[in-house]
Amino acid sequence: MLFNSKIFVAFIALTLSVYYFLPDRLKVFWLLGLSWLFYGFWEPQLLTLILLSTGVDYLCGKRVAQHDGDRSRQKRWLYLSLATNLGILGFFKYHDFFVGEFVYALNWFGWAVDPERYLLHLVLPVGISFYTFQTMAYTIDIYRGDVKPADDFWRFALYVAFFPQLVAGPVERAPHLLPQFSRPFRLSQKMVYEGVFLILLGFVKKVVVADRLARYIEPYYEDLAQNGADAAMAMLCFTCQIYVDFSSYSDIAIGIGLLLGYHIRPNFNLPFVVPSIPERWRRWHISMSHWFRDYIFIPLGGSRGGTVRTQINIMIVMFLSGLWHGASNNFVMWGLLNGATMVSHRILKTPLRSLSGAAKTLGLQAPYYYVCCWNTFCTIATINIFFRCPDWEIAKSYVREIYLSGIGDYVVAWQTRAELNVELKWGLTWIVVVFLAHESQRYFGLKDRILADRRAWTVVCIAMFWTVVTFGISGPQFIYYQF
Amino acid sequence: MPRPVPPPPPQPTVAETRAGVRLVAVLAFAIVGLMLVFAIPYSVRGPMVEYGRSNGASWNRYKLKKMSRKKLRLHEGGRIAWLVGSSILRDSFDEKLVNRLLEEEGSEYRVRKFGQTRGASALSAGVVRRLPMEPGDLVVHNVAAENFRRDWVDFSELPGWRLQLWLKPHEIWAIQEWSLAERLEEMVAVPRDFYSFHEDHMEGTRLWLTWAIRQGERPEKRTKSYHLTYKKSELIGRLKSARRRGIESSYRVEDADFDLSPEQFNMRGLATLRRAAKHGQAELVLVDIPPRQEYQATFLDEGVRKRWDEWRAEQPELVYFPQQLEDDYYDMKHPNSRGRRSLSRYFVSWLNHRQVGAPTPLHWPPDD
Repeated sequence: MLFNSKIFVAFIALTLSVYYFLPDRLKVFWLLGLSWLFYGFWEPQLLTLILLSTGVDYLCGKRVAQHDGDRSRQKRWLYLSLATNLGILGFFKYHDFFVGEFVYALNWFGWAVDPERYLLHLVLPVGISFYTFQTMAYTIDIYRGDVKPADDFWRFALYVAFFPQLVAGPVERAPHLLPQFSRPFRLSQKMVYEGVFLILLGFVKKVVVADRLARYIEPYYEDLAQNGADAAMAMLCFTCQIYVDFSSYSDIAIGIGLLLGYHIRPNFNLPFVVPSIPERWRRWHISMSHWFRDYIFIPLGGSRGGTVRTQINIMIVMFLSGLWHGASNNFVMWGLLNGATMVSHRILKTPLRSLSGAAKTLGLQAPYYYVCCWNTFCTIATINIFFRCPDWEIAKSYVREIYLSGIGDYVVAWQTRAELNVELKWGLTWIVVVFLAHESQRYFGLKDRILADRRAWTVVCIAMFWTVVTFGISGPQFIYYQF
Repeated sequence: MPRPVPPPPPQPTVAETRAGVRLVAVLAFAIVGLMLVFAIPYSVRGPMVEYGRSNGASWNRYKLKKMSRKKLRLHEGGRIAWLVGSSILRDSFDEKLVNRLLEEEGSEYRVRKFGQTRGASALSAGVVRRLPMEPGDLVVHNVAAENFRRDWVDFSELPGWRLQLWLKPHEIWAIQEWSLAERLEEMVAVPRDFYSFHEDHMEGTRLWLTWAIRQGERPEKRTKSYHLTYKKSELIGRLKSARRRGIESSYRVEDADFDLSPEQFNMRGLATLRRAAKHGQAELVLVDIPPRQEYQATFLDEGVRKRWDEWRAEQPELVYFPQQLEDDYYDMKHPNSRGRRSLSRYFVSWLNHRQVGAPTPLHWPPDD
């Protein structure tokens, strides 16, 4: 079920209207039933996967805790959990990719193998990358002794399938979410105000900004890039779209969680205008970044093994992050490029610091900051070409046209700017709007001010509601649904 | 070591919870109320809808709404032939020309036309239901083989609002091609007028907002001239046709996809249409307006043609209109201005003589 659908509005109305009147002991069952309904709405058979993951991890978590002190037995149960989750993920998400690449390699070496004989063309279960990571984290945390296993199967099942964050995160962690299902239901007016505000804000971001940007740039990515200026504008618009689209999902998820009395951890902390790539990763998709940090980067040695080892660890993490996003060479490249920029930043840390110091001395701190932000934005946008382009050839054509075909296209675009495609002009306008909203939040704490003032809240919420009604709660799915 | 995950924040008190739940209830009522208030301008004659009406289906609803019943039957005899159907019917008959010829001949009939893209039987039934029919009226509806594909709803890519515009909820619920989830999605679309006219309202709002920004020409209400420009559809049609010939093999109707069972979406619609005409005490006539011979030969499977012939022969209300010259179509199926003149004149003659006609034998490729 998509958040931006009519049925979801009816679903949430039904959920809340019954939920508040149920006794606490039944609330978990109600939410669990609805979460499974939510997940199985379009493809009921996919429920079996989430049930399998839930059952196995519940059992493994229990067994790992039971054998406390017996590391080898604990490991066995941990491996069962990892094998099950990674097996599900690998089979449904990566089978065709790896088989396709293997067959390609065989053909390259001279064996004539028809890939179609081995490809399964499986439907990717929605949200599989999110809930498998969430359940794996649970078992690993028990193994490490950071968390106790869930006492109650139904509460654990709800932790895995909690519908607001099930299909596109934030990836929750057991110590934060699981205990909330055991507490009595509590709700404050502050939570309601914030919840409603976030839901409306999320819908406005999705149906007004993200979907419009998606529509503007769609035609540009259907074929090879023909013009550097157009390709560059489409590239910038996509980077804005993906931020607005993904953060809107998180806003709605957190908002619904608050109305149900639960706190879901934030997934974004103003990542749109940042002065460096590492800073961006600290603020973007926080729950997943933390997952990779805690379960991949640190076990690999983190930054304790010297400079070279740290850089290698970063590259491994970013490679896996790319692979997590999608089973294709584009995403692998996306991950590696992100890793390369992170590594470059670490290498250039000292000269960059000197440059920053010089700017400060000259009183050019603010311009220097925004030059860095623009540079970072363009770098991210360039890397995102591999995220957005449907195939390798189109991605390459984008890089070629934008960076390697001279400045002729840009000069012509500037000279004929009045005749520029109106949709791209709108796209660029949206980037400016998002930038201003973003910076208003950073400097003035706009959201907190609105939440603190009831009149402002009422006016803004009515305006947002009218906007959502006018634009309509429908449209393409969220970008991160595909993962 | 990984950084510890922070525990959940402390909870509010019981008293705060009561106040919180009360606030949710108040907000829920406020949201429903606001939704109803905001939905008021969404109607067939909504202000923004009038500026943004951009398709034939919505235009037909508007035409029905503003049709003056007093002026409708001022002519001698006072009978109306309601032409209701798809774009083929829309492009085959020139309402103005037909009415002029009928007037010249002193006929007791005048025509009113309600044609729309994808206006096959199911959607046309929705139009017929709303017609102010009287005993002695005629309902003329065109049928075509391609509308009886098993996957017609999916194939035609009709958006939900088009179905909302004409179908009743139980008819939407009965769409067999759709999964339960898809049917539920359309069933919860209330208020119905809000969803039916949302596209037009949005377009009108967009025109006004962008006018304010661009300071261009003031938006104008979209009137008859916008919706009935044959030249426009002829131009678009020619382009589409060229494309269709080349690559759009999905337009070909295969025997296995051809479904004349009573459960097929348009077959169900045809039954509804028959009931609606009967209820209005009007005579129903199904007309077969043949597409180009090239279309029949290349887009309709041989088995389809055979079954289609058999089905047509069994329909008591069916009338065959003559095959037009291949050059008298602007694309594979739609008559151009020459074909339209010819078919309009034939329609007037048919109204006087009621000849049943016969299917034209397929002759393709043509002799040089």
